[in-house]
Amino acid sequence: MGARYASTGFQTPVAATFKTMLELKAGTTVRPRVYDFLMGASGTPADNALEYALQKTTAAVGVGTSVTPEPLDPADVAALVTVLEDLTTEPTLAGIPIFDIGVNLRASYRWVAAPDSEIIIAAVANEGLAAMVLSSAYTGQAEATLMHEE
Amino acid sequence: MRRPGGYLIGVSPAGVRECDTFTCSHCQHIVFVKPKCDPADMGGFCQVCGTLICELCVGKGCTPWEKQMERAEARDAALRSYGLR
Repeated sequence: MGARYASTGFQTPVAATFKTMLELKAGTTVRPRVYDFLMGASGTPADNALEYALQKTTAAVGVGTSVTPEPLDPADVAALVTVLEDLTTEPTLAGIPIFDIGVNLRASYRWVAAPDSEIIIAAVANEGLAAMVLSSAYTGQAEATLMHEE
Repeated sequence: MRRPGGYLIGVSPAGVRECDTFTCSHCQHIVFVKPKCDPADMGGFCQVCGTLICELCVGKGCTPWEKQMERAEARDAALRSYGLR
């Protein structure tokens, strides 16, 4: 079992097109395995529709605020992945979303992987995973947490 | 389902939604498994690699995600060795 880390991020304001809350980018020496993610919104509760998605990203990196993944075991070294939050320039997305769900603003979702069923990111520089959100009515803040193992 | 690949929990004012999921072994898509649903509605079983796949990957041959990652990593290593990355 590798070292485990948690990364939290947000996106504000949520827009009518997908905006990335959190982007996790791999390096060339390790394949990060995402085993848990949570998504929700912290704005004033209302009956608005949001759509959350997870999609792989390729080498064209996004632009956002750097986040330091927090090791779940304090004895572990710093993570090799790089993480961005509140992206202002979207990364290049690959394929189609691997997770896509429409939810009420008042709802939050969590997915946990069984062992050996994690989302695996190739050990290619700047390939990664983006947690995204969109809403046609809600323009507040949405949050995501990604937990990965490397 | 027996040996699910994951578990989804959604909490909303309408209640709690929970369901098993599995991860497509070809494209990593997370598939929600509705209890007692028709197996054909949630994807298929790849006879080549012996794993569950999503409905988008049914009938498209067998290219496991592991193989796709190996190709991407080999290509990246070659490009870096040429000084192109």
